[in-house]
Amino acid sequence: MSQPVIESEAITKLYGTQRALDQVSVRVPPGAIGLLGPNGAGKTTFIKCLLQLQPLDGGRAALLGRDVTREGREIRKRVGYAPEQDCHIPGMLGCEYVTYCAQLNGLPYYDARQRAHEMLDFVGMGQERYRAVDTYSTGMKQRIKLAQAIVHDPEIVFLDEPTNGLDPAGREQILELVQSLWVRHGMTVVLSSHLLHDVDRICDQILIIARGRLLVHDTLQNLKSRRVGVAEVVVMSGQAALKELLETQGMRAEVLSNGHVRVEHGGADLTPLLGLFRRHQVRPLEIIPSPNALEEVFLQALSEAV
Amino acid sequence: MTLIEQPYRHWLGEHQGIWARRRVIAQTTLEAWLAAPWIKRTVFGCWTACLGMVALLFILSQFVDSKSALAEWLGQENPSTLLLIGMLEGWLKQDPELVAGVPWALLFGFYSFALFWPTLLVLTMAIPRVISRDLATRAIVIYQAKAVSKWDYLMGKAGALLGLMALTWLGPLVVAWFASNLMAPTWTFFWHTRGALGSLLVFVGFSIVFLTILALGLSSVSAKEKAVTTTWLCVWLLGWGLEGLGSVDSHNEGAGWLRHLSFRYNLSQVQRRAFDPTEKLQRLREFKSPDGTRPLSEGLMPFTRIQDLEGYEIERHVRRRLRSPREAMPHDHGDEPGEAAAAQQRREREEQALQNQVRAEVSRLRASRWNGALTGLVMMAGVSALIVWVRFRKS
Repeated sequence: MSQPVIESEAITKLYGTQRALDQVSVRVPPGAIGLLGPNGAGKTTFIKCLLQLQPLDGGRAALLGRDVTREGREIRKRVGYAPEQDCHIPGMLGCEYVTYCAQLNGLPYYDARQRAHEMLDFVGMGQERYRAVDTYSTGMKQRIKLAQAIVHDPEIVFLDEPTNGLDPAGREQILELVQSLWVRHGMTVVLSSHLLHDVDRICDQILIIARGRLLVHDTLQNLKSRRVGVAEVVVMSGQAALKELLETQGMRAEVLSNGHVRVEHGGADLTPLLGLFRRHQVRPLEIIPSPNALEEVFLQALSEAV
Repeated sequence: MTLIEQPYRHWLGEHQGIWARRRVIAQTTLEAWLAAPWIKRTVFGCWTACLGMVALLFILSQFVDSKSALAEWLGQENPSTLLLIGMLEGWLKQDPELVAGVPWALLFGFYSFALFWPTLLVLTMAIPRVISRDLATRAIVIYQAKAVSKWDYLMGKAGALLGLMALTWLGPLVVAWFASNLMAPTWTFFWHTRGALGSLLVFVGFSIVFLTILALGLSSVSAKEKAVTTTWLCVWLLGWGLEGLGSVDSHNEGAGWLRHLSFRYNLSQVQRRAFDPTEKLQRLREFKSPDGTRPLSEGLMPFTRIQDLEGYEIERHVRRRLRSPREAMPHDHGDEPGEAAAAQQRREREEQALQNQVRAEVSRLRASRWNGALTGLVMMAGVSALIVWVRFRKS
């Protein structure tokens, strides 16, 4: 296992009497990390504590191998953060804003300006960069938040709900960008979201937080393999007959509202199911192994936590 | 098809130090303020006033040089003026510190007092934009997520405030001092007028540091800009009103401490202490022209009065208070010539004693006000710092 980028040891954060984080201990290696949890679970608080935006009430945390309490400023030079809420400096143009953010991270002016334009191109912003940030649409705000978070070329970037308020096309573009940061450029990405599809799409490690406690930390692959034996079968027609066939084989099956047949086959892989289909001349259009595995893991983790 | 055409490139440069980042905060904030039309106009007005100062000081310096163009022109018009200029030139040689240094100090005392008002006006427009606006738009989160701590942020904002006040107040004064000496008849004016520069640096430097702390505190009061402006105006204008209640002529003498709730009043005490205009004017009275007039002290009287109105008021009040019981006593004029002379001597002694008493009482009152002013300023700065600390403690 490579050197962890995030380390926390029994970190606790209190808001009055409420425990927003309760003894969270974790060691996370570099990668695309999905931070999952229901609303109010403590995801944002966890990020804020790591970035020293909120002081810790207990425990210790380190980012990139450095203690966040003692070396907060030096750490933030190598860390990017795109907050969930709209945060901007009023009256600034988009390109000025990103340049300023780069300068705040220690880039000299000319480098900052050049990087700002590169990052605005990277996130797909055109001439809008010459408009005041206050006038941006939600989609543009999300893009500029991403641009300011990566403008100083951080080693790790925290993205808090980066696809909120985006239309499907915009969401797809942002996810593609975020994915490329880790896959192509080696930048560790921590994606905090309650949208499981987004996390499933780009992350290879999952942290599930609920009620201020860390419930799950594992790779997505491992998590999916825990939920073996479920598949969705896509057929042109004859869903009811297929359901009946599967049930006669002792499997639980149901026809979903989208026409897919969900089957709990119980096997470690799809070989028995494929054999059954071959024997009974069933020609599915597609078989989706472990669909919604993340959702099921998530729900299971939550139910175990209650 | 994706919109993204720019590939991501890693940045391999060197990071700048923390002071550069603090300077960026100060510079960006200041530039944003200067984009506001009224702030820009006020700054322009202050620099126009600077030109006026330079012109006036240039004329004054021409008056102490009989070979100057102005002296020659005035001499052609009125030969007696040339005599006066020659006399001033002689005085300059005899006591340059007094002839050049003291008028410069009096004029700079007046200018530093005059530019205080546009500075307050500019602060009224800038204060809501210091921290309050960042709180309202949550820009503070952006700052905190960057490689700057909250103290760096505050130092940057303080730098912006200092920069703004340097543009409206300290800058025009220092430039006026430098330019006026550059145009003076001799280079020695730089040396003879160093006292004026020192006094203005002390007073204006102290004041802008105090006003910076006050502005940071007031701007942290609320995320609502209107609430911040209202609080600032209350602190400024209400304090000004309270000065009247605590004045020497007020019937309510126990309310004297109220005047120290006004930062304007407290800073005026610092100004008086730094420039000491009344004492300086007194020294200029030594110079009399052959016709018995005092050209230097009379010419500079209005500049002095306006700087130390309260000083005159205190002196008048004390004199009246001490004189009243004496005037009520019966006067013995004496019938015989010897007795009349003795009575005259006694009256002179009494008058001298009265003068000494007035001086002692005035300096006691002045000392008490100076102490009160310092206490007031320290308390205001303390409260302001406390507000900032509470606001940023947990964020």
